[in-house]
Amino acid sequence: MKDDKYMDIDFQDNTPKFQINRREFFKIAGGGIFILFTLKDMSVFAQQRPDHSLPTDFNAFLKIGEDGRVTCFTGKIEMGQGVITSLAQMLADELDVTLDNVDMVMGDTDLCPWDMGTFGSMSTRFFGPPLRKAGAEGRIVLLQIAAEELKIPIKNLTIDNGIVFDKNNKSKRITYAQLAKGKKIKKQLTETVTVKKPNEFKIIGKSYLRRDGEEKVTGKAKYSADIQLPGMLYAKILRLPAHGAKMAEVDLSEVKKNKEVQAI
Amino acid sequence: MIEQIQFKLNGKPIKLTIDSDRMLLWVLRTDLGLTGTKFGCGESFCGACTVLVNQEAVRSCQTAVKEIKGKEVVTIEGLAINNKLHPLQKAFKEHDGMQCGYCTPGMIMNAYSLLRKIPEPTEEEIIENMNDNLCRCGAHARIIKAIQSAAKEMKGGH
Repeated sequence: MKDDKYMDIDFQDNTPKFQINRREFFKIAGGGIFILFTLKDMSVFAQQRPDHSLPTDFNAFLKIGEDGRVTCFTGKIEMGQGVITSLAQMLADELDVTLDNVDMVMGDTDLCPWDMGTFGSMSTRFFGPPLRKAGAEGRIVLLQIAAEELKIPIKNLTIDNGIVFDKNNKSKRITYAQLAKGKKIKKQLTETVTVKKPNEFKIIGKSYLRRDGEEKVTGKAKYSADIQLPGMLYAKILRLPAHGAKMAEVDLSEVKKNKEVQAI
Repeated sequence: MIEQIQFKLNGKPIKLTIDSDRMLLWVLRTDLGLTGTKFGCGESFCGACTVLVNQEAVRSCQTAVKEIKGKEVVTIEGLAINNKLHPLQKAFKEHDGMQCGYCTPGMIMNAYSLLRKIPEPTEEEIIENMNDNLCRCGAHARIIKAIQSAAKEMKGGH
């Protein structure tokens, strides 16, 4: 891995709207409980690019919203490999919610932090573990708040389907929505958090239909070529007529007559 | 040539003043915002752009709009009626007949046309008729299962 050379593409002209300062964060992300985390291996990439330091504090985050829904914001994208489903399964298990209660917001540059990209079969292997840890961390934060609000020690609490309750008295309970209500908590993932063991999995390892299936069979799924933005232009590359040919001259006078065309 | 073209699109009459030599695919996608129909190769090899014209599967990337005057065009957006999935859409979803889903609209439209011609196709007939719709992800086996399942549910109807 370390011997691989990465093309030095400079994305600095493409400033993401997503800013990391605190005020901006909540303005974009709304209220609730947030767990910020990053791919551990980002440092490897950062070392290779000394001129352009990559964000190392966080590049994805979880939200437990005031409606109790769990959302993951990441620059990783779904492209058929199924991560919009499998990553949601990981989160659902770590946070003890149903799969239906998890949303994945992937690759939306207005909402998601910067990410190097989705390639090399790395989303599950490298993004999966910190995502699960972030879920586990979120669970701990929820338990801590619940312990305060219910006035019951954490060791007596348990969680099922997004409801925290007293092991000894199930009527003493509080939902994730109630816990997140009115909160603006932003927490960085701590490395020491432990994730569930395979024998505790309820959702991971089971086969689910892909969550984007309905969008894909109805034509509603948006691919990059389907996105229209204000002022957007369509590019068409004019290629040389033969392989290895060198451009001597090109006559653009005809296309320039069309006012809607910008020839460069 | 700029002219007025009238046709039916997903059940609704439509009138466009347009260069009638333009390809239906780009009129659907750019002018009408129906991006469910995909551009794959632009040379009618891959089938990603398949739509129905008078219930027949055609490649919209190589169909000029002048050829569809007065005809009925159905795209993937027009297949579900009142948000109820067509049996083919349901079967593709339930049998996981896709990965990236880029070929899926074209696959479904082509399968629709196939089931109109052969309501109960054998596996060989499905393969033969779907062979020119390309899927790079490798969902072929599940696509065949989806079409078989939809055929059973439709029982010759559509």
